[in-house]
Amino acid sequence: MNCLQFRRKLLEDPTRQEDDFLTHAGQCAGCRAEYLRCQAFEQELLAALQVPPPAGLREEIIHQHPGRAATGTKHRRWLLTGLAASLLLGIGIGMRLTVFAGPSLQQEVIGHIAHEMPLLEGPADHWVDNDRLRRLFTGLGGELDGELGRVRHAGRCHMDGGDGLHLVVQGERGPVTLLLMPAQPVDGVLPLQAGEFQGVIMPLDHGSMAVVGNNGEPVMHLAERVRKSVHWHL
Amino acid sequence: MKPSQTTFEELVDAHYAELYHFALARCGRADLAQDLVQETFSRAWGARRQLQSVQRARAWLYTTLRREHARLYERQRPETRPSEQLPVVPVSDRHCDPDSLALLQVLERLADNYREPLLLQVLGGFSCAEISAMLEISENTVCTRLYRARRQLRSALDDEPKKVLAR
Ligand SMILES: [Zn+2]
Ligand SMILES: [Zn+2]
Repeated sequence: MNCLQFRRKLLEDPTRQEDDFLTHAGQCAGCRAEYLRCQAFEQELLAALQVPPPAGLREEIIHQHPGRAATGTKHRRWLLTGLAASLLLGIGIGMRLTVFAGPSLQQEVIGHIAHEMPLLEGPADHWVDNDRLRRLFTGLGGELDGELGRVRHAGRCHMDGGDGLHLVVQGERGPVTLLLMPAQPVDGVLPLQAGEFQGVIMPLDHGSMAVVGNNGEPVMHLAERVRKSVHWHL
Repeated sequence: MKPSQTTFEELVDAHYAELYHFALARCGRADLAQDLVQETFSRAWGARRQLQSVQRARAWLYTTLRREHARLYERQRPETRPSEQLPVVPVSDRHCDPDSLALLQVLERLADNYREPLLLQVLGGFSCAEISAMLEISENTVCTRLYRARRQLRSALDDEPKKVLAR
């Protein structure tokens, strides 16, 4: 390796460990000085970029996800996994039978919830702050005007037809899932029932929303409140 | 060799700070950077079973954050969309050390296709080959961009350190 090659390689990746590269640095004083100068520059660059993250970011990330699933929820999880599997099976068979009809929106909603089952597990001991919620809505071209109550999870999720928001709020009978699907229109109100879950899918000014809770949860009540607070400017 | 097993919490501890640095350097706003990191780990939680090897997890996290960042700009309405370069960053909010400030200022003037591979290498510690896979461009192109990025940074700093310091 000559000096020209060395200096090119150095600026491509100063952390290279190849033998011929390191050997040249060991044997050529000029390139060794350049090598050291480059390492110092990398350190400066790294230090400049390492702005301390906001206090509490770590806790927010950890609490967003119930890593400590309570034992009582294990059974439910199995049930749901089974349910999701049977739904997926249904989707597979359905597609072979009728080429044009995809899975129903109800099936997709239950499948989505089942797929992200951990969001419903564990104790709810951390709430998403309203600023973050509003930013999530703004990011999708919407607006949240009002309160959704105690929100234990909020994130953007890929849904059929486009991105939407996946929220989990604390209901009267446990966690309630809200899927806001601005790119998924529906014609009217669709009831939904699967295992121990029940809910409703209803139209919004753009697209639709699913509200799904445990059996006995007054989902219509919550659905009305969300419908009044959420606006899409699409 | 058996890959080291990590829990979700260990994954967060190992990477959340560097991902925040990457996000902040990409979008220039602390609140958005925070959202990007949270979104990324939200997805990591869903994929946590595939993320048990540390090295794979790191590449996965950076790739996911890049995708989330791209989506952020896709989604923004035209009037709020920043011009093709970075949004104007109040650099002074982030750093008081003048050398760092000067460095960040020249970094922000780099073209985005030079800046991104450089950030991936400096913050994520990825090699040219790894960056090539992440950005889906040839390894040669990545190497060239990294070489030029560092050349440009250095010459910009050599040219006007006094000017920046005097601000
Ligand atoms: Zn030499
Ligand atoms: Zn989801």
